[in-house]
Amino acid sequence: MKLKITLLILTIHFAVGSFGQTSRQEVSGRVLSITDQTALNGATIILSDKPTVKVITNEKGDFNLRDREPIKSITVSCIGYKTQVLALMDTTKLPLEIYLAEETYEMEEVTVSTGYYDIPKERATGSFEKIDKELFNRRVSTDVLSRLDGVATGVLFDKRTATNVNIRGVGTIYGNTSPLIVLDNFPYEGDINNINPNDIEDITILKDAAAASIWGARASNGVIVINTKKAKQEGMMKVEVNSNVTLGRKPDVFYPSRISTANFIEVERMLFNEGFYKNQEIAYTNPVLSPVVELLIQHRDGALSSDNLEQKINRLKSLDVRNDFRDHWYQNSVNQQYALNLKGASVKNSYFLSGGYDHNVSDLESVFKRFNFRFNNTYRPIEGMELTAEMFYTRSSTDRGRDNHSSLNTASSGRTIHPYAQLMDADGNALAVNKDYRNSFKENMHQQGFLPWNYYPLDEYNHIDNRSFNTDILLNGALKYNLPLGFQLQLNYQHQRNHNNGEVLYGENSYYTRDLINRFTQLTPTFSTPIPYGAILNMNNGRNVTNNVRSQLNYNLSSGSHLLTALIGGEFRSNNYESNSARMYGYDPDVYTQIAVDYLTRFRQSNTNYISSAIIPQGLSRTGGTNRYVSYYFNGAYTYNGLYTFSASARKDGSNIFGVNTNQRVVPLYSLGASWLVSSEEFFKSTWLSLLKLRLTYGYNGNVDNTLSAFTTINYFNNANITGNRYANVVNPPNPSLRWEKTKVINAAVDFDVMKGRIGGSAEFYWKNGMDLIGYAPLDPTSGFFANSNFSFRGNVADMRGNGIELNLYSQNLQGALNWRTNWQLALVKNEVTQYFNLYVTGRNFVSSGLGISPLVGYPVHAVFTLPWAGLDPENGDPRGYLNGEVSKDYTAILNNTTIDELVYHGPGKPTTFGGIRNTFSWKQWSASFNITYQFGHYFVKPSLSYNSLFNAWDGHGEFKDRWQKSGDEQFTNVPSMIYPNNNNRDTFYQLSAVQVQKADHIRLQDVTLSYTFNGVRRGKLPFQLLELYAYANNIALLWKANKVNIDPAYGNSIPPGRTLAFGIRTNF
Amino acid sequence: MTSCNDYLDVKPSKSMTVPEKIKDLQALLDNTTYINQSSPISPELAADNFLVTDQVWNSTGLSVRNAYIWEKDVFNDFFLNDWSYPYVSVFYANLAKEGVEKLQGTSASQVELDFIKGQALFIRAYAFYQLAGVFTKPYNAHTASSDLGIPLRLVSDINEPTSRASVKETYDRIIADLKIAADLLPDKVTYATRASRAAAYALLARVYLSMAEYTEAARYADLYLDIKNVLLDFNELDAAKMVPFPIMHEEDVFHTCALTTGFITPSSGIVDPSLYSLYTADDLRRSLFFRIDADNKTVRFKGDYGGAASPMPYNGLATDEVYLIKAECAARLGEREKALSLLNTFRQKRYRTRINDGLVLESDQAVLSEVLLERRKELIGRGLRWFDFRRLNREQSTAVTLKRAVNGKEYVLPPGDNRYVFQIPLEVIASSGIPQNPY
Repeated sequence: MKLKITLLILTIHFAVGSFGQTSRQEVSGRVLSITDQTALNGATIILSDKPTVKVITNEKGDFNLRDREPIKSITVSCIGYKTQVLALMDTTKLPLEIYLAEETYEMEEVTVSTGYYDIPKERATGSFEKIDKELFNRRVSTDVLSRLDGVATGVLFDKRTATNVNIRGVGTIYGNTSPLIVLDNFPYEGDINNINPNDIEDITILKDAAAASIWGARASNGVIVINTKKAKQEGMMKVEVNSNVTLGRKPDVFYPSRISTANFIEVERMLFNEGFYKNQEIAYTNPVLSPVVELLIQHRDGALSSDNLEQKINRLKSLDVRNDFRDHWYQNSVNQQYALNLKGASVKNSYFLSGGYDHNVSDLESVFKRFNFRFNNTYRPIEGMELTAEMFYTRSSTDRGRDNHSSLNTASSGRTIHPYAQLMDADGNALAVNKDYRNSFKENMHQQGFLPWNYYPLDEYNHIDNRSFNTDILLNGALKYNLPLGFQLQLNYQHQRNHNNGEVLYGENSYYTRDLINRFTQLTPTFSTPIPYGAILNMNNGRNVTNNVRSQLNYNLSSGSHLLTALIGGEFRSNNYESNSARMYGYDPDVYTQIAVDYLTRFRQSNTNYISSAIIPQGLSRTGGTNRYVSYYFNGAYTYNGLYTFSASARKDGSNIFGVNTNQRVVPLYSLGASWLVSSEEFFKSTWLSLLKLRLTYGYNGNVDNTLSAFTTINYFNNANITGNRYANVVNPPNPSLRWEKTKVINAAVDFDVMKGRIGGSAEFYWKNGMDLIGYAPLDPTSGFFANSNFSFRGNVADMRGNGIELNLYSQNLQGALNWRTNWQLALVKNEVTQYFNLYVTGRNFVSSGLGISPLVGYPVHAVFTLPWAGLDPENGDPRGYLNGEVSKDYTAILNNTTIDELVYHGPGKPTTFGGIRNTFSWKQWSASFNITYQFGHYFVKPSLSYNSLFNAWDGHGEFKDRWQKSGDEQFTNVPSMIYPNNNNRDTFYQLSAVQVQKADHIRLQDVTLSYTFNGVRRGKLPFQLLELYAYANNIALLWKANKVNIDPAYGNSIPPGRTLAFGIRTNF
Repeated sequence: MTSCNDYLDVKPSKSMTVPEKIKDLQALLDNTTYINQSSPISPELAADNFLVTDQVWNSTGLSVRNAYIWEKDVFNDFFLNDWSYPYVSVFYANLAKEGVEKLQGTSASQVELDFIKGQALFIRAYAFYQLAGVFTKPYNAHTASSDLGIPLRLVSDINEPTSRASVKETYDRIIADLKIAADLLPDKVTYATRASRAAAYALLARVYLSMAEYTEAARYADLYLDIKNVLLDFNELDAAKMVPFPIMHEEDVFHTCALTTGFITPSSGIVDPSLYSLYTADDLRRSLFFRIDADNKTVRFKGDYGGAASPMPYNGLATDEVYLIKAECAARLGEREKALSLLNTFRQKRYRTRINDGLVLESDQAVLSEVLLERRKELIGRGLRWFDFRRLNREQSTAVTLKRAVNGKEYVLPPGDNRYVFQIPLEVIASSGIPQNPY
C-alpha cells in the first residue's frame, strides 16, 4: 500500500461523502497504460467498498462492472502499475478511460516488524531498517542472510571470520556477537540455511534500543526479523513461480602466495646437507620424508648416481601441484533453484502454500539438496477472531565431495602437501603422494602382510561416503481475538523440531581405513588385525527441540488526535538438544553387518615400531542440554495529532544460566523514545521538503552467555590418557559476581524526503556503551587455571563504548522513459575499550592482527598491534626489533619484555567506514542495477614467511624469493635471511612485526543484475500476468585496493570466491 | 515466581556440572593429562643420561636446546611448561580438597572423602616437590629458611596473590601434607595413576633423601616396603621387545610422565656411551634398557619404566627407587649388612640368575658406592639424575662437573652453580612480580 494512494482513497471517500451522489449500477470503460497508451489486459476493477464485486479487463483493456447498489467508487489495479481509485458521480462520462501509471519508486508507507508487533515506520521512534521484497530478491542465492550483504546499512559481513555478521559494529568483546534471528514471531533455532529465500516477504533489522529492547537479553547484537510471505486477504488464487541456475567459477588456487618448487627443493637440499632429516630418518615413528629427500638419501647411500639424482630432481622442479588442484580437484559449481507458491483467500479463510527445491553442486563436487514446503492458513470463524496455523518442513541433504585442497595434509602434525606432488598421471590415473610414514616403511610392512599403505589424494573421496541429512519441522499456531474497548488477546505457540543425522562411510579401500587397520595390526605373537578388515562407519544423530509459548494483550485506542497502542505479554521458551554418535568396524555396507572389536586392550602401534600404544577409537558419545528462558515484556506508543510519538518498552528476562543466584538470573531492560514529524506541522510549509522527521531513543539491550557460570564448573570426558577412565576438566573458575552483558544505546535520527521522492533518506547517530562485558583476563600461570589453551579467566571484565553514523540515501536521478535511481549506504563505526581487567603487562599478549581481539583500554576492540621493526641487519639479514628502546636481536626478550607502550598501533582491524552504492536503471521492460561496495579505515596483517613451517610443514610463503641474501638486500626487502638452525622466535618476531601491516581499504563491484519483464496482461494472449527473465552476476571484481601485496582484504588469507553468474525466470499467473 | 525458578533450575549442559559429588572430585583427580603427564622435563634435559648430536640439537625448539646447555632462556616459548604445568595439577588438587571440605558433615562416606583428600594432598605435594627441584636451591638445613622457595598455592582461588615461600616452608609443607595423605589413603589402589599410602611413603622417602635426612628417609622406605616389596624380575622380561616393560606394572606405584620433548622420547634418546659401558654383560638392563642402531654405534634408550604408556618419558614413583633409597640410607647410617642384603636382593632381579651369587663388600664406603652405582644404572630417564646431582654435589666425594659440547662449543656446569636452579618463566615474573632466580 502506498501512502499517497491511501491518502487519495480517504480524500475521495470524503469527496463522495460530501458532494457525490450517484445512482449508476453499471460502469464500463477501458484501462490503458499512461506511458504508451496500450491496453491493459487482466487489470482488476473492484468496488472500493465491496471488494467481492470485481471484473477483469479483456485484451482490449475493456471492462464492464455491475452491482445492485449504486456504484460510488471503483479501484483499478494491475500488476506493475499503480492502483487507482476513482470516485463516480452522475456527471462522470462513460465509458471511462483510465490511465494507469507504471509503478515507480514512491515513498512507501512501510510497516516494520519486531516479531512482537508491526508498526508503521511513520510512527516508529526507533531504528528499523527494512529490506523490502524487491531488494531482497535482487540477489540470487540459496540462503537468506547473504542477501543483506552490501545493501543493509551498518550491517557488516566479515568473510574473514566464522561468525561474521555484525550490526553496528561489535557490542561485546568475547561474548556472543551474532545478531538474533527471528523468523516471523520467534527466534529461529535451526540452521538459518534451512529457510527458503523464496518464502521471504521482507526483512526488518532492529538496531537501537527502542527497536530491539523488546527482545531484551538477546538484543545487544541487533535483531534480524524475517517475515515470510502470507496469504492476502483479497482475491482469487495466485501462482508465483521462480527458477534460476547459478554457475560459479573454480577458486583460484594460485591466489595464496607459495614458494616456488625450485626454491623449495633448494631449501630441502640445504637442510639435507645440514643433517636436518637425520633425526627423522632414524625416528621410531618413521615420519614421512618428501620425494626429494628420499632421492638425496638414496644418492648419499650410493643407490643413485649423481646424474640420475639431478635428472630426477630437475623433473620434479618443473612440477607445481597447484596445476593439478586447478585441473583435477576443482570444477565449476552449478546451483539450481525452483520455487512455486500459491495463495488465495475467501471471506473466512486465506491460505498460502509453497514448495521449493534447491540442488547445488559445489566446486568440490559436494551435492546439496534442499526441499522446502510451507503451508499457512488463516481462518476467521467469527468477526474479530483470527486463527492461524502454519507449518514449515525442510529436508536437506549434503553429500560431501572432496576436501578443500588447503586442508590436505601429509602428516598429522599439519604438514601440507609438497609443492611438486603429482596427483594424476598422463593417463588420468590417480597417483600416490607421500603421507604420514616413509615409503620404505610402508613397503616393508606390506611385504609382511599389511594392507597397501599408499595414499591417493585424488581418489580418496571416491572411497569415502560422507552424507548428512537435516529435517526441520516448524509448527506455529496463533489466535487473535478482539476484546471490547480496543483490547486484543493474542496467543502464540511454536514448536520447532530439528533432526540431523550424518554418516561417514570410510570404505575398506580408503586410506583412512587402511591406515587405521595397519596401525593396529600386530606381528606378535601372531599376525593379527585388532581392527577387522572392512569399512568403518561413523554415525551421528542430533535432535534439537524448541517450544515457545507466548500470551500477549494488545491495546489500541484511536480517539480524535490521540493514538495509543500498547502490549503486554509473557513467554516461556525452552530449547532442548541432544546428540550421539557411534562407530562400527568391519562394516559391510551391502548387508549392514559389523564386527566386534576389543576396546580395552592397549595395542602397540605398528607405525611406531610397536613402541607407542593406543586403544581402538570407540567413537561413542552422547551429549545434551537444555536452555530455558522466561520473559515478560511491555511495549507502548502514544501519538498525538500524528505529530509527536512517545514510545516505551521494558522487558525482564530470566534464564537458566548456570549456578547464578536467582536475583542475577533475571535482568530488566528498557527503552524510551520520541519522534516528531516536523513536516506535518502547521507551521511547516515547505514545498520542497516533503518529509522531515526527528527521532530520539534511549535504552538498554542485553546479551546472554549460558556457557558461563558463577560456580566452578567441570566438564566430563571419556578416555583419559593412560587409564582410559572418565575424567573432568575445569571449565569455569568460581565467579559469584557473574552478570549478563548490557548495552546502553542512544539513537538520534532524522528522516527526510525532498521533492516527493527525488532525494531522501535517513541519517542516524548512535552511541553505544557496553557494560559488564564478558572477556578473558589473562592470569598468572601460577594460578593453575588452564582452559581454552590459555591461562586466563572469563568473566565480566570489560566495558566499551562505540558510536557511529549511518546514512541511507536515495535519489531519483532520472524519471520518465529512462529511470535512474541511486541508493547509497554509508556506515561509520567506531568503538573503544573503556575498561579491561588485566593482569598482563607484556606487550606480546596484545599483538594482534585485528581479526582477533586485543582489549587495550583506549583502543578499538579489534585493533592491529605489532612489535616495532628496526629493519634487517645489513650484516646477515636477521630481523631486528627494539628492546628497551635499543635495536635488538634478542627475539625471546623482545617477545616477552616489550611493554604495551612500546607496541606499534596501526589502527582498527575492522572497517570503520563501509557501505554500498547501488544504481538501478529501468527503460521500458528492461531493468538493470549494479552494486559497488566499499570498506575503509582498517588494517590487516599479511601472511609472511616462516622458516619453521617451511622446514617442518613444507609450507612457505612466496616471498622466500625476496629474502635477504647479501649485504645491501636490506634496502629492498624485509624478508629475513634463511639461517640454520632455525630460531622459531626469530620467525615469530618477524611475523608479528610492524612490517607486515597493510591498509585494508578497498572498493569492489559486488554484483550486477539485468532483467526483462513481459507484462502478459498488456500483451494479451500470454498465459501469465507477468514474466521476468533475469540475470545476476556476483563477486565481479575488486576495483581498487590500498595494498600492493595482491591480497583481497575482504577475504584475508582465504581464497576469494569465484565469480558466479545466474539466470532465472520468475512468473505470476 | 517459585515455579518459574524451578523452570530455570535445569542445567544447560548434561556434561557440565558443579563439582560437588565425590565422583566429580575423583573425575578431577583422574584427569591424567594434568595430574600424571605434567612433570618437568628440564631435569632430564639438563642431566647426563642423554646425548644430543648437533644435528638433533639444531633441529629442536628453543627451550629444549637451552635446557640442554643450561642456558638462561627456557620455558618462554610455551604456555604449558615446567612451571605452569605442575601448578595446573596443584589447582585441580586444591579444588578437590575444597570439595571434600564442603562435603564434610554431609551424608557422604567418610572413607571416600578421606580418599579424595589424601589424593589431593599427595598430588599437590608431588607437584610442589617437582617444582622445588627445578626452581629452588637444593635443600640445605642451614640456609633453607632464607633460600627462596616456590609459591605455595593452597587454595584454588585464582585471585590469590603469588609470592615465594622459603625453601624450608616449601619442604615443611610437602612433608606435612604427605604425612596427612599417608594417614588418609588406602595402602594400594586400582590404578597407578591414583595416589595410595604406598605412594605417599615413597615420596616421603624421596623427599627426605633429598634433604639428607637419612633416618627419616629410611623409615618411610621401610614403611613402603612393608606394603609393597615385589620387584620385577628382569630375567622374565623379553629384551627383544621394542618396549620391554608393561604398562602400570607391579613396581609402578605412582605413574607420572614428564612433558614430551624433541629428543627424549620414551624410546629413542641417544645414550652417553660412558653410561652404557657401566652395564656388564650379565646385567639384564644392558639389553632391556638399550638398543643399538644399525650403525652398531649409537646406543638408544628403550627402557621407559612406564612401558611407554604415552609418548612422554616416565618419571613416577616405583619400588626399585625405594629399595635403592633404603639401601643408600642404610649404608650411610652404618647398617652395612642391611644395605648389602637389600642390594643383593635387588641385584638378583637385575642380573642373570646363574652368575648372580651376591656381593661381598667390606667397607661402608664401598657399599655406598655400589648402591649409588646401581642407582645410576637403574633410574635412567626418570628425571632423578638431576636431583641426585643437586644433593650429591654437596659432598666433595660425589660432586661432579658436567660438560657438554654442542656445535663445537663447550659448556661446563660446576657443582653448586646458579644454573642448578632454573629461571622462572618471564611471564610469571611479569604478571606476579615474584623475584627471579639468580643466573
